[in-house]
Amino acid sequence: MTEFLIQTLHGLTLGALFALVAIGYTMVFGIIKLINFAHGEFYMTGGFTGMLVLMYLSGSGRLMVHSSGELKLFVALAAAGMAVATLALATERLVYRPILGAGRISVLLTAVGMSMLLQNIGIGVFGNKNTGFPETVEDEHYPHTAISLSELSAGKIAGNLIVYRTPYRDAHGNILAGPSGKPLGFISTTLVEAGQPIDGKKLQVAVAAIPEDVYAYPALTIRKKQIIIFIALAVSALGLHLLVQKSRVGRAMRAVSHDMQAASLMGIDCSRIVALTFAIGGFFAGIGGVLAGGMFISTVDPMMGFMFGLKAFIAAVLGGIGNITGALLGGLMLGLIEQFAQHYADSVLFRGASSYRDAIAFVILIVVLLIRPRGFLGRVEGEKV
Amino acid sequence: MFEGLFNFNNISNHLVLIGIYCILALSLNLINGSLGAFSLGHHGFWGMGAYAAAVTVWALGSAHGSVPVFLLSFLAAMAAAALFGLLVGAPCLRLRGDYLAIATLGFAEIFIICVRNSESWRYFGERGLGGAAGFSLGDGFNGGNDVIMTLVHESNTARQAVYLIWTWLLAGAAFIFVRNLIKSGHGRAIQAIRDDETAAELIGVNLIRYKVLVFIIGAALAGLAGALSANYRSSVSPNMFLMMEGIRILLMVVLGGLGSRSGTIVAVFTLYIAEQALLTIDTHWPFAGFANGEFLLVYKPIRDLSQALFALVLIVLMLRWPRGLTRGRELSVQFFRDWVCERKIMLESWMKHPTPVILAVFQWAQLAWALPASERLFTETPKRLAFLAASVIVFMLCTRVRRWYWARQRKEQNLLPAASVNA
Repeated sequence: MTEFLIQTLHGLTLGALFALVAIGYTMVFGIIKLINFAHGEFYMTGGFTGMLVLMYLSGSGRLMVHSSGELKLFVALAAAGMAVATLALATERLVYRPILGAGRISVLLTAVGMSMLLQNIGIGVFGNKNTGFPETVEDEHYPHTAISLSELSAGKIAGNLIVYRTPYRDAHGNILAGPSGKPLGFISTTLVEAGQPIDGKKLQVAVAAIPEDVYAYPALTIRKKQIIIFIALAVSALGLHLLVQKSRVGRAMRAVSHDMQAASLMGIDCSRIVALTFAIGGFFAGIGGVLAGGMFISTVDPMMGFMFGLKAFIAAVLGGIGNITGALLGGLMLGLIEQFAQHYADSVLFRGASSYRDAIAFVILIVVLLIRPRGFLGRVEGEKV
Repeated sequence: MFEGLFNFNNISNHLVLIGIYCILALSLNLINGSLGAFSLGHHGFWGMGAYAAAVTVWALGSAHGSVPVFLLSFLAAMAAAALFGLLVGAPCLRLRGDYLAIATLGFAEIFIICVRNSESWRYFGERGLGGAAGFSLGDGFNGGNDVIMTLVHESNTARQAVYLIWTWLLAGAAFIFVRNLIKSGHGRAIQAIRDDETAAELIGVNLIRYKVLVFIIGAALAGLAGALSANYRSSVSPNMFLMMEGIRILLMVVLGGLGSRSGTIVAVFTLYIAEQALLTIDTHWPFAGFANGEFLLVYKPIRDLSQALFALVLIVLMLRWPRGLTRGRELSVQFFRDWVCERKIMLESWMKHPTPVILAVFQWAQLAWALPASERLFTETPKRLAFLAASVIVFMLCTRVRRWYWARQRKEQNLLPAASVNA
């Protein structure tokens, strides 16, 4: 049961990040029926922008050396959101707007090209490897009862424990990478049942490689970073709801999404609304990039947006594309499904099944498209002849 | 500089790869261009064919690469890919447009992910199908070597010649097959579905049958290309069939004009040669680099930037020719007549207004010169950056002036804009 709750928490965290990125996909598709493949790369750009801003502001002698972690994170979120919104605006103006009238295939191919371009610029500048993200908030656990290593090795375990390994950093805060480019240590969880000896060998290896970074906590804790992600999602969802449902601009957006031609006849500047949609989607992707790549996983890399973007799109399809509530729900659902599948596949299906976890999202996509192409909350549109 | 570029083996290698791409692009053109369905997962069919061929050769033993094994591997590849096509084509009945594109991409990605994890498929031996590292076919096919060996006395050359002949025979066969299919009654039904699905159904075209049929045929042809590339490289690995390859094939099809077979072939040659030519250029372009928390101006060889350049070229091509170079027409005598006619009109307008043409030539030339030259001319980074910024500003100014010039001309002559005279 504890294990199930832990996996649920992890799944919801992952799902919240999917949801933030899925918002952009669903809004853009709702208005101009374009799958913006570059959206995953907007997310990646957000992660890198956050990293650069933090590196600049918290360098020695700079403005935010002594600021609290939360303030730093907030500044990084705002900066990355704005920067990615600008990037999305520029992309829409320079690339998508000129080609929108052409055939569907050309438009989609252009979107894929844009995604490839951003990805490869990222690889060219930062290299195809993980880059460490400056530490912002301390990784606290609630309830706050860390157990020291000596107690662990002495065998004084009073309940289910969970052992965390966080990335190992050098003096500059850069993450030490192994030969494959992956960090030596990573946030991984090992559940230790009460009364059972710890997997001595495994822990010893971990301890030898990363002396100070192995902590043990009571199994069911919620991390501060997870709380921040949930708060960010809640605030974003509320803000977006108010914007779309209550404001004048939101009414215009709904009108354009319903029928662009009629909306333009009513005096709505459609191209401005489309640009605004891109900007809002980009803003949330940027926030997602900082929260996921930066704060939660502690590393950013140029390829991080590719699979994540595709999965976020699948989340949008799952919830009913064009529907913002659907994107939020779809994201959370996909996160849960993926986490459960990854964790339970080995024991339920066959050994090694969890290495197929990236395929799960696509299987879900195909099943949903076959059974309910409009997603769970999408409205059914009759075919126009 | 060009040493070794023009020997037989090198050229033959490129021609074989072009032939494989021709088959792939033709088969994708059948699905995307003639049926009007939107498939993004062609690399999946290709990979399925390649793996099926590899497994066949592995199962039958390929010590000397005999002809029957070679042919059997082709048949197996086509059958496996066709089955995969049936599996993918079935959802095609319910899905339209972008949804279909995503579903086909999903199938292809599932295939690649499965193959990546194929190390544990013990049925195929100790290392399974090799996982991400790939699966070797041994020597692969070199049937017919004996005949050619008597002519050229060099085994590598003979192998190249064998594959050159086989690839282009099969590419020619695929071309003729697709052409005959499209020109037949079935082809008209397929094109009717593309033009208007509802109308086609009303006049009695069996939608289900034709959609699935086209997917199966397209997939089988892609499987053929897969068998060729597996035998030719004598190994398969998931990295040969990334999404990037699917995009490359799709770009060839769209650039050639959807539904135009001859246009597709021309686009395959154009894109392939352009890409290879780009890789041989030995020049360094300025690029941003990031190390130890600082941005630097670095000069990277074009080879390292080829992926980014490919993406950029893709976007520019789509913006300039969204309907392809041929706008979906076949290359016929009439097409060339029209083309010459258009060029004549363009040329006349250029002769009449040489200013924008000179400006256009100048702006591109100065940019292409400035990018590599900045490294040689200046030693300090600020000066280099200033020089690059200046060249970009000159480039943008030239564009402004040209637009202003054409706008004024149009206003004076009270004409509507003509896209083709915009030098």
